Amino acid sequence: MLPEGASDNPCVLIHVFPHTGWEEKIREVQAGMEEEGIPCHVVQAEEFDEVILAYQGACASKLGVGLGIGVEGLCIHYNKLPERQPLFALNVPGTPVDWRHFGYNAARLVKGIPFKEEPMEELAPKLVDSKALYNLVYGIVQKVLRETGPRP
Amino acid sequence: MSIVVGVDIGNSTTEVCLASIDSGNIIKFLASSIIKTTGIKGTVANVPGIVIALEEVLKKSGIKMTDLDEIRLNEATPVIGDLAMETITETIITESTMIGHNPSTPGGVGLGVGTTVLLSQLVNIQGGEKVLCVIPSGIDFQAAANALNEAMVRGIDVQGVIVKQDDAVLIMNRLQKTIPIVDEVTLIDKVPIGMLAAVEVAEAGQTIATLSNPYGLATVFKLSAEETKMVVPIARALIGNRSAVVVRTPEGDVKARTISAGFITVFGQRGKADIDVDAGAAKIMETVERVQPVLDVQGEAGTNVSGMLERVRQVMSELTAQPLGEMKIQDVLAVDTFIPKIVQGGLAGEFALENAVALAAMVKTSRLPMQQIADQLTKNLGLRVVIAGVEAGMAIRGALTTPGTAKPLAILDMGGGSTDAAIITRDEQVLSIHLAGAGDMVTMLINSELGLLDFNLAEDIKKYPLAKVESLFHIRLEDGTVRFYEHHLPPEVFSRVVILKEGEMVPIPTNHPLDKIRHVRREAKKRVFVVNALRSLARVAPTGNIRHIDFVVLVGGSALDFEVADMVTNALAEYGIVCGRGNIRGSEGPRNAVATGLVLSYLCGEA
Repeated sequence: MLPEGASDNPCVLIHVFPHTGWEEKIREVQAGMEEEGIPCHVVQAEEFDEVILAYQGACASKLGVGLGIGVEGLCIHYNKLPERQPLFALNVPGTPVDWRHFGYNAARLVKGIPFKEEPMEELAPKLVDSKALYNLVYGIVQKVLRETGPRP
Repeated sequence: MSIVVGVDIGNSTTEVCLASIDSGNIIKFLASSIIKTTGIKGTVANVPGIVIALEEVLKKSGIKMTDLDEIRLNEATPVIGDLAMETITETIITESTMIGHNPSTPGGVGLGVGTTVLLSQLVNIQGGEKVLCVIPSGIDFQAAANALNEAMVRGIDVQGVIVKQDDAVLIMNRLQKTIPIVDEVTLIDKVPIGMLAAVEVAEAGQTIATLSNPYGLATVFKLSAEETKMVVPIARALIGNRSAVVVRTPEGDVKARTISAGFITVFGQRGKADIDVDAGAAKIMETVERVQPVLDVQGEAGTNVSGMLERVRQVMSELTAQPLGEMKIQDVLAVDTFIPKIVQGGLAGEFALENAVALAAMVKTSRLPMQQIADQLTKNLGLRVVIAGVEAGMAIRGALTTPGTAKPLAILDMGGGSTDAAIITRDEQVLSIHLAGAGDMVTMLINSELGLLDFNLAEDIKKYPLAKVESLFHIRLEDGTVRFYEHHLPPEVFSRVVILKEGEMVPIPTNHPLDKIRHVRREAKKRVFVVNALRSLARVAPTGNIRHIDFVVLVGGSALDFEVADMVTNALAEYGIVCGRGNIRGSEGPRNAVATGLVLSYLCGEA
């Protein structure tokens, strides 16, 4: 199934079932790993379930990390996990941003640094210091009450 | 035989102790319980909580409510504390910009200086010009690299790149020569175009050397001596980063200014003294100690300090239904700290650490409306309710049931809002004192120094130990031991510092290493609890000398903290004092001291 010797070097194995548009997915996934500085190797496989693909990759990889790209989704697996309990699984085709994040996170599993949050993070509203806000409102209300309160 | 129950209403918990008393002497402690206090301590809102606690203790012992002969309440100490934090420095960078963030993967290495230009405008640039290329979002790394390579071929000296997406390494790997690339610049639209700028990226594992050095900036931007003084805050904000960008704009103006935080006036029995909050915590505490005992503290009108002190008075006045004018602040604790503030003019949400002073203030009034609670309880339950003595005296009585203690004995009760100490001498004299600053202040310090903006998270960091998740299957605890898990841990905690909270792991969403968080936590506790332990014992010691106290028992919530008791024990050992966690009745640990004392006081016929 895989050309022996291809996984001789320590790298993350990307097992992919060829389908329409798989090259774009591979490109983003590889870009994610390259940005993080972790080598990877692409293997074409017969299986189409992304979890099984990822698990095959993880078991064959010297780093123990595999990434599966199936028709229906993407999956990151680790060889020490049970086959049916992948680390990350996406069961929709997803967007280029999702694919890139799977690349980042497969690499980060190898590097042992925290995973990157889901892509939407920078659009999230900035945290508001609710205690400060509460105190401000409380202070203003108190002031108004004092000034308009009991009149002789 | 009569059955008596002692009820201790505290700021955070209500504790109950149930005992049977025979022929005025023999006591059998039947059960105790502890629940969260309902409402603010000393108000009628406490009644539902008291009833729940009573029901629980009755259920444990199998006694009916109607069998109770007497409920004994403590005269809760009318003490309330509040906190404030006052920044005393501020870094403002106007009309000038810098990026000093640490993307996890910047690209290339070195220092580049040139004029900022958008990628799309590179075609209009003449050969030989030094430029820094700015790449907004939506541009693919391959396209960007192609455009840059093309420009380089045309002789344009591309010195560095600033890019919005996380693409630095990808672009670098596709370029012909190595240049510094900074990525993940969120507010890339705000980078001014056509301005002289510098980009620096250090080798992995190192920090930048030129842009964090005022003279480095002076060399890059050809600054005069006067101008060099102005850029010190920029250099300071960039220290410790692996990558940075500084853009110089013609009207560039940066200053670190000291904000006047106002002064406070401390009125003491030995005169009054003014002290600037800017002077820092040490000077403030020196002043407080010089004039103590403190009668009142006032802040300069119109400043934040005065606002905070007024708020404490206000809350206490509403609580006790006594006039605002009678509310006197009787202690303050000041602690030097720092607050990470967003740098104005920063482009990636950078923070600068600003110096600040944290203040805790404490108000004490004559009496809380305990009688109302007692009346309400009598009405609801049809039982005799007695208000039995002052909290401090009851706590000492309970603390003395700790095996191995003897009079004279001092107790330290460090709660959420105040630190209380009391002493009983050989001739049964009880002296007590309340000082500002306790658990809540520690939480505030942790919250601000780690830049969490999350009070509950800070509270958890204070209460529970930390661990680092090292793989999907094991964590390393603070002391270096490893714990292994058979099932893999959730990805959210992978490689993060987590709080081990009652069997669950709470990830801390910052990049602070475990050692830093632990250090901040321990320092906050030392600066509040150890300082206050020494301060309060010195005040209750008969001679004013801590060494003349033999036994100190730690009671209350903070005695349960996993490290505070050890810190205080260590600090007091230097003075030859036996100090440790209480063990009330030899079985309750540091809890239930006041409730137990209330029951014991029944024997002496104290009402």
